[in-house]
Amino acid sequence: MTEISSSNVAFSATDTTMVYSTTSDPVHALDRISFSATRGEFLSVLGPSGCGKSTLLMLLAGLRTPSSGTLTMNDKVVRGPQPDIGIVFQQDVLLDWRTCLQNILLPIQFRRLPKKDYIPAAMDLIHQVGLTGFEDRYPYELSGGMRQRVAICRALIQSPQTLLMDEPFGALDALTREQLMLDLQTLWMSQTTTVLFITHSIHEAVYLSDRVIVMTPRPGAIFREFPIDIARPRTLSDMNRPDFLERVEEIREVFTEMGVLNEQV
Amino acid sequence: MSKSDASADSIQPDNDSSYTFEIIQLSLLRRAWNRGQIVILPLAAIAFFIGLWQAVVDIFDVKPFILASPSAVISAMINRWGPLAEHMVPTATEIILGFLLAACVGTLLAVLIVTSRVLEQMLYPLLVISQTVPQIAVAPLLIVWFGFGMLPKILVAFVISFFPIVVNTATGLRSVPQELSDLAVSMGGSKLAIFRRVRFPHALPHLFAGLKVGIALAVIGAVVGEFAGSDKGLGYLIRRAAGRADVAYVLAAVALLSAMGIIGFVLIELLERITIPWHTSRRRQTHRPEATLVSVRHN
Repeated sequence: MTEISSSNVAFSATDTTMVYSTTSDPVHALDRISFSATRGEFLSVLGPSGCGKSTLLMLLAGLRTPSSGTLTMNDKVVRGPQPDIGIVFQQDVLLDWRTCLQNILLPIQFRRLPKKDYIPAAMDLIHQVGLTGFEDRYPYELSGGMRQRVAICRALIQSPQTLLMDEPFGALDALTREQLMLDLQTLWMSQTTTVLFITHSIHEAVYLSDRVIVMTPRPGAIFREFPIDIARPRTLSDMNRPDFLERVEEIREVFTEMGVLNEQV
Repeated sequence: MSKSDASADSIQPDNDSSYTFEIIQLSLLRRAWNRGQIVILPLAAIAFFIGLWQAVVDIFDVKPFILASPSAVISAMINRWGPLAEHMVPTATEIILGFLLAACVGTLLAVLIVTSRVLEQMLYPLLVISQTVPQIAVAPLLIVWFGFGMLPKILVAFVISFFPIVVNTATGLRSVPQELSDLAVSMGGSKLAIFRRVRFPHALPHLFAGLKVGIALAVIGAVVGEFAGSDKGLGYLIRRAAGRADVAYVLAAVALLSAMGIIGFVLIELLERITIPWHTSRRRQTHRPEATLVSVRHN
């Protein structure tokens, strides 16, 4: 499971532990995590709040350094911020003073690449997420769902090999969330991007993923993995299919087993 | 792909329903009234206050060397406009130069404080001390050091007005969300680029808040400097007129000082609207309850 040399691996973690030292007690966020993602895979990490899911994402992005263990991204050991990734957080963190298009082009400017070369790609992404006509609008003129679409376009502008998403739909209403799940699936299917999708919604994870990793409460460790072999493209009504519901139920049982869910009525 | 969010958010009049149309008309009227209120209500309050003042002076026959009536103040302003205007120039110059110095030094200090922990620990106590020392008491000392010219007044205006600018700007520079700075780093932004493209623009609303407090304080600083020792400026004029119990003249000069403060404030607010429309337009949006009335009816 942890063979690093294979070029079929998009990113991986080996015996990764993370302990945050605080002024009071040290926080044990991750405990000897080992896993790897195949190139092009849609991998979800599912776990209760505060189980270190977000920490895992920050480690893979090279924005934090693990206490011990190794992480790789595109066959290279992660040391410092990674160039070939896109990140989407729960908050869209768009820059209020830039239009949609300028926000999407921000990574291009940070990397000192010619902005002009990326405008067609940006317009194409804007079109794909249904925001044509809103390129020159400012974030405060958009709804939460539209803002998050812009944030996704910004993450994808350089067609990164890896897309890291940290509860990207967590702040949205239920309907918008379903729409964005559909949109994300379409976007992912049109590209060769590997996705690490962090969520605490079982439905979201099962609907979107090729594989779901379930984590234990803090200190976060991998509890079990579930391959999701439902054919794509998946429709929203697929969520009512018996095999979909079976997967959801299996995962829910795991949470009951861990004591995260308590079904005493 | 869908544009569901797009259409749900915009307010479209429903032509089939005259009821909806009426509500929209009503809301336009209400909006016009609300806009007008912003101008009318404060003016009405000021007019009422001035009227009351005039009435009190007239009815109780208050002596002009105790309290001059508004009409006496206005006539003093008209009759002695020449000297008033002449003394306004140095005061205005002191305010502007002191304030500009405060804006530049204040912003620079804020940047230094947030970029270096060592500098912060060195500078912060000094800044706090500079504020706990009563600047008014230091003004005479500045006169001793720098003479009767404009420089000591500019310095008093500067010292008194730079603190809110430093504190506000530093707060703004620090308030960048962790996720945003993480994202910027992950996008490959250098420290300087992140500062220029993310941190500094993010702090601008705070910077402007500091400037607005600063300009009001700069007016006070300039006048205090002039009180401490000078032979021109509105502060000098006020002291001389007060010595003669020429209350109408004093109040005319005070009114001019206040007008200068207001003009400065309005200019900064104008600059704010031009520089950060993304912030000011959102602030205005929060005062529009009638917009929800229409959209609720529509959904």
